[in-house]
Amino acid sequence: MKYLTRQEELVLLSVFHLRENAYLVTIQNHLNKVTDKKWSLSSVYVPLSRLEKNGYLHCTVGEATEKRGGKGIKYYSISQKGAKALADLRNVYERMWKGTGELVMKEQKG
Amino acid sequence: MRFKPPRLATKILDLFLPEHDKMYLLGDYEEVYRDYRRQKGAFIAFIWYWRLILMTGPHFLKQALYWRIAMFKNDLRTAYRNLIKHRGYSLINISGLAIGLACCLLIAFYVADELSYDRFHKNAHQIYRIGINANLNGKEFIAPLSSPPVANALLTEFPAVKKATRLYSEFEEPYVVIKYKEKNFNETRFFYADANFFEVFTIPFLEGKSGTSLSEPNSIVITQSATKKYFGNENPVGQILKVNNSDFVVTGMIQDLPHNSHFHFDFLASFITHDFSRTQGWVNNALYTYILLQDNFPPYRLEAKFAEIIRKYAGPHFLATIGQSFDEFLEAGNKYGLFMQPLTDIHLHSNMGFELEANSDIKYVFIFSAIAIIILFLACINFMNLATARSAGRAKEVGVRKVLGSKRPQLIKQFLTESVLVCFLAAFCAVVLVRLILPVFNNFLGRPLNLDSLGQWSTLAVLVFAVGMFGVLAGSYPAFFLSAFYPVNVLKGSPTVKKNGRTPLLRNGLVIFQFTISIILLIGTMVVRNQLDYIRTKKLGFDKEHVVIIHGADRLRQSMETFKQELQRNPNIVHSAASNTLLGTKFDMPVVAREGASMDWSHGISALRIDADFAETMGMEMAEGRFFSRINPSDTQAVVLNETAIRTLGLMDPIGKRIKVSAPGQQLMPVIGVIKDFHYESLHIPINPMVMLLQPEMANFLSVRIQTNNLEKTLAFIEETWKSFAPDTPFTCSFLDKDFDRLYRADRQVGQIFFVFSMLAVFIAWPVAYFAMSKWLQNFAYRTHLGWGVFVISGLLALIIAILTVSYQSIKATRANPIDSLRYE
Repeated sequence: MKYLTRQEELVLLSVFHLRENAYLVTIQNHLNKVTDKKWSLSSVYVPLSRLEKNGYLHCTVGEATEKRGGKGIKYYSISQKGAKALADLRNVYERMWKGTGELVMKEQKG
Repeated sequence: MRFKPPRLATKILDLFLPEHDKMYLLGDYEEVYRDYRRQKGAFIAFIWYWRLILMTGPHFLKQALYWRIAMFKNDLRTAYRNLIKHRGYSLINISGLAIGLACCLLIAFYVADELSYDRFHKNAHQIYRIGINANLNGKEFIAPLSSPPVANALLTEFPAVKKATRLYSEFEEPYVVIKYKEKNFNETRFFYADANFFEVFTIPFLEGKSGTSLSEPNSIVITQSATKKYFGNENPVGQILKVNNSDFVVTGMIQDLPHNSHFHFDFLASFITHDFSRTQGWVNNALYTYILLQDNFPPYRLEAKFAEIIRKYAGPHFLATIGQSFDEFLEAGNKYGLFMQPLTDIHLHSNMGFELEANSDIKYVFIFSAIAIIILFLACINFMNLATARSAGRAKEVGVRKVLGSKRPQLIKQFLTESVLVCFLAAFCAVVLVRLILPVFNNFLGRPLNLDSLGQWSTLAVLVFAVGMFGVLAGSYPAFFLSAFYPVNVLKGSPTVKKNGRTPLLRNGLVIFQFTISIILLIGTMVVRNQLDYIRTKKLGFDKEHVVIIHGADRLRQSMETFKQELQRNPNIVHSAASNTLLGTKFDMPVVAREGASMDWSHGISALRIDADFAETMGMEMAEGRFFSRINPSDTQAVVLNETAIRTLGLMDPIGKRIKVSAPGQQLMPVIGVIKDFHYESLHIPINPMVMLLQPEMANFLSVRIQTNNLEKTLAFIEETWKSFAPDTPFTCSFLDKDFDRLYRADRQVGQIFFVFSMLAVFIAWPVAYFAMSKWLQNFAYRTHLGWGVFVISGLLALIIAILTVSYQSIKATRANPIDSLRYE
C-alpha cells in the first residue's frame, strides 16, 4: 500500500485534533504551534488538497463571514479512508520502533 | 472594520489559483491578512499578502499550465485526426500554403540580400563615392567617375574627409594577360588602387599586411581564388606575377569579395605604378574616388562647397586642356559639378553609365516585396476558401461538440489550433522546398543567396512568430464562421446557417480577387513571351547566328592578316573580320560634323573601327555606295555611315561628301558608302547614328563566321591556329548570338517571374493587364502589338480552369451514392 508523506500525515493529524474547526488557517496555526516551525499557507494547502483529492478527507462548505470578506469557508474532516491510513501508518511505526528504546535513551542523554 | 487586501495582488492570485478552491483560498488569505494587520500592522500584512504570489505562484501555475497543456494536446490530437481523415484536402491545403510560404521566404532572402550590399565594410555608412555631373554643350555627362586629383583636393580642403582612396581600371583594355611560370590567363578583374584602399574598405587579409601592401610601385594584392588559380596551395606573398609583361610582387592575399559588393576584383595593383595616378587634369574622369567621412558628418555640408573647390582646383587646368578658361566654359552654358553618393546606396539607387558592375534597382525590391505580400495574401485567401468550403462537413462536428457542452471560445480555440498546426506543417515543407529550389533560384538570379540566416535564432523566432500569426489570421475567419453554427439546425440536417439567406460576400470577394491576380499574371506571362519571341526572331540587319568571337585579338598585331588567311584555309570558316568593339556592347563616341559645320559636341556618334571584311562577315547590306575595300588604300581615310547618321547629319546625296571626325587627326573624311541600319544595341534603344572607320590596327576582337557542321572541329581548328600565332595569350571565344541574348537577361527574368507566379496563383482582369503590359512594351522602340488574342486566350484558359474546378465538384456530387444523402432526409 501507499503510505502518506510526512506532511500529509501531520496535516491529517491536525485535522483530527481540530475536529469541527479544521480549515486552512486553523490547520496552519496548529501545525506552527505543535512543530515549532513556520508553515506557510501554501505548504499546508498542497498536502491538504492532495489528501482531499485522494479521498482521505471529507469537506463541508461553511457560511461566508464578514471576517473573510464575504467569502465561503471549507472545513475538512477525516474520512474512513483517512482514518485507516493513519492507523496503518501507526502500525508500521510501532513495529519499526520496537526495541529502539536504547537508541532513544542515548540520544536524550548525549 | 473593513480591511481589504491589496486589490491588484488579489487579481493576480485570482488568475492562477485553482478554480475549485479559489473562493475558499482567497477567504483564507483574507482572514490571515486581517489578523496580520491587526497584530503586526498594515505594512507587514501588505508585504505578506504580496509574497503569497511568489510563494504560491509556482505551484499553482504548474497546475494551471498542466490543464492548459492537456487541453492543447487534445486540440492538437483532434486537429491531427482531422488532417489524417481528410488526406486529400490536407494535402492541397498544406501544399498550397507551403508553396506560397516558400515563395515569400525566397523573396525575403532576395530582398535581404539586395539590402545587404556593401554593408560588410566596417565604416560602410561613412563611405561615399564621388561622381561627376557635367554638361558639355547641352550633352549631359553624369557618371560615378571622377578625375585623379579630386581625392587629394577633397582631403586637403575638408577636415571632415578622413580618407580618400581611388580605384581605377583601364577601360580601353578589356583584358590583361597575367603570367606565372607556365600558367597564363586573360584576366578581366584587374584594378589599380591607392595604398589606403584597405583603410577605407574592410577586406580581410589572409596573408601579408593590409597597411603597406599597396604602398610600393609594382605591388599587387590578389584574392584567394586567384591564388588558387596561379599558385595552388603555396603562399603567394613574395612571388612575382607578370602582368602584360611587367613584373608585380604579390604583397598580400585577401579573402574573395562577397557577392554583395558593388565591385569585384581578383587583382589589385598599386595605383602608384600607373602614371595616371599622378595626372593633374580635371577633365579626364576615368576613375572611382571614395571618401571616408567623420562619424555622422552630414554629406550635404561638403557638397555645398564643391563648386568652390572645383573653381579653385580645376579652374587653372581648363585653359590648358580645353582651351577655354573656367569662366568662359561656364558662360557657354556648361556645367562641371561633383556629387556624393553613399556607398550603401550604390547597389539599389545608382544606375548611371560607367558603373563598375551592373547594379540592381530599388524598384525590384519593391516589386518583389509586393509580389511576396500578394502571394501571402493569396495563400491566406486560398486557405480560408478551402476551410469554409468544407464547413458543411464540419458542421456536424461542431453541432455534436456544442451539444456535449463545448463553448464557442473552446471551439474557436480548437479551429485556430488546427489552422496554426497546418501553417507550421506548411512552413516546415516551405523550408524544405526552399532548400530544394535554392540552386535553381540562385542560377536564375546569377548570384548565391545563402540560407545561413535561417539557422539563426532571431530569424527562426521571427519565422515562427510570423507563421503563428499567419495561422491565426487565416484560421480566424473559418474559426468564427464554423463555431457560430447552431447545433439544433446542424443536427436537424440543415447545416449552413444563413440568418437571412445571403451568401457570404467576403468569400465571393476573395474568390474574385484570387481569379483576378491569376489572370493578370497569366496575361503578363504571355505578353512577355511574345515580346521575347519577337526579339529573338526580329531581323537585326545583320546575321548574329554562327559567329564566333575571338577575344584579345589585339595580341595578333601585325600578324592579323596572316591569321585571317590561315583561318580561311578551313572550308568551314566562311569569313572573318576584325573590330575594335562588339555589336551589343559599348562604343566610343567621337564627334562627327558635316564639312563646314562647327564641331557640335552634342553629336557624338557611335564609332565602329573595323577591317574591310566586316560587312561581308556580318551579312550587312549597303544602302548606297560601297563598303571599305582592301584594294583602295585610301579607304583608311574614308568613312561609312549608317542611314540614321545620314539623317542626323542632314547629308543629302551623301556619297563623296566629306565629314569631320574628332581625333585623331581631325581631318575631313569622304563618305564612301551608306550601310543599311542595323540594330547594334539592344532593342530597348532605337538605332543611333554610327560611323564606321577602316582601322584594322585598333582591333580587339575577331569575328569569325562559320558553317554549322563540325562545329567542334572548327572551334578546335581556330584555337590551334590561335596558339600557333599567339602562344602566350590564352584563347578566349564567345558566340555573338549568345552575347546578344545577354542583353535581354533582365527581360527574360521578368518573363520567368511572371511565368512562375502565374503558375503559382490560381487565376481575371483584362484592363489592368492591358495597361500594365502596354506600359512595359513602351520600353521597346520596336515592339510586338498587344493583340486581343492574348486576352481571349488567357480568359479562355482561366475559364477552363474555373470550369474544371467547378465540374470536378459537380461530378463528384453526381457520382455520390444517393443512399448516403437520402439516409439523412
